[in-house]
Amino acid sequence: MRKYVDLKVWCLKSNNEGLKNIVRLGNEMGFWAIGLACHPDGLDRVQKMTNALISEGHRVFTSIEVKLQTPQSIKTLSKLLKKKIFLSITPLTLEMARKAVKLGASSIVLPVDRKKLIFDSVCAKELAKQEGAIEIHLVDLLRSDRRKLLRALKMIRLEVKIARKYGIPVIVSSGATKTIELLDPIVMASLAETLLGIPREAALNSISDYPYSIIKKEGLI
Amino acid sequence: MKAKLPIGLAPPKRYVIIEVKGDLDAYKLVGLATKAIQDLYGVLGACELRLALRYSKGKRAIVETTNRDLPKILTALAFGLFKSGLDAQLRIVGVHGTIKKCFKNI
Repeated sequence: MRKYVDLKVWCLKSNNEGLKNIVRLGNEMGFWAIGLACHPDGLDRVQKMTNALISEGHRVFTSIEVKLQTPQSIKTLSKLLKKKIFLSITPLTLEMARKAVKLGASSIVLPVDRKKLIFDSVCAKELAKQEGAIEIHLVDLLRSDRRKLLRALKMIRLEVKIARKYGIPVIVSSGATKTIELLDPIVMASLAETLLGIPREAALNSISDYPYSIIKKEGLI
Repeated sequence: MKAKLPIGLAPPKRYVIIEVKGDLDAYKLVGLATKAIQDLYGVLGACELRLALRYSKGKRAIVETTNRDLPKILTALAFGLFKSGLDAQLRIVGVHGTIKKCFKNI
C-alpha cells in the first residue's frame, strides 16, 4: 500500500480549526501525511499549530519555502537548516539555483512564473551529490493562463528530463492555498504524468515513495 | 447495428466515479473538461481521447474512458475545474473496469 504525502499545503491565514479541516480532508482523500507550508516569517506560528495537531494524533509536519532572490537571503537559510523542518528553496535565477543546490535543502522548487531555465546539468550534478530532490507545485500550473502554462511547461519538462537523467527524484506537491484546492492523489499522479511527461510509476512515486523517504530520513514523522 | 473493432485495437475501458463539491455540478464539469481537452491536447490529441458521460445525478457522475487515456482525462477534469474559477473541488470516488461495479459503489 502506497503512503501518499502532500508536502505543501499553505496555511498563510488559517487558524487551528482551519488547519484541522485541511488535515481531515487530506486524510479523507487518502493522504498519509501532510506538510503545512509557510514562509520563514510565519514559522513560529505554524510550528505551534503543527505541534498541537501532532499531539492530537494527526500526521503533519512543518514545511518551509524560501525564495532565493539575493545572496543576503542565504544568511537566513543557515539558521533554518539546523531546524527539524522540511526546507525547500525556490531559486529565481540560474545563479541562485547553482548556490541553492549546495546548501543541502530537502528540495529545490521549480517556479512556474519565469522566462529562463533555472535548473541545468551543473545544478543536477551537485544536487545528485547532496541527495536532494526537485519539487513542482501543481496548483501553480493549474492556475496559470494558457500562455504562461505553455512557457512554464516547456522549461519544467526539460528540467525534469535533466533531473531524471542524473537520478534526482522528482517530487510533486499540491501547493494548495485553500481547502478546495486540495487535489486527490490519483489526480496529482495524473497531472504529473501528463504535464511533466514522466512515466506512470515515477508519477506515483513522486507523491508517495520519494516524499515519504525524505520525511522519514529527516525524522519529521 | 454496432460497429465491431478487431481484438486489441480497442483499449480496456475504465469507469470513473467523480464527485464535485461546491458551486458546480458534475454534469457541468464534464462539459468544462471537454473544452479543456481541446485547449490542452489540440485537435489531434483530442480525437484520440475517449470521454463520455455515462451517468450524472447532482454532484456525482460516472465518466467512461480507457485505461490509456485515464491520466489525460483526469488532468482535463482538473483543468476544467480550475479554469471555471468557481469554488469547487473534484474528488475521485473510484475507478472501475465495469459500470456495474460503479453503480454498486455509488
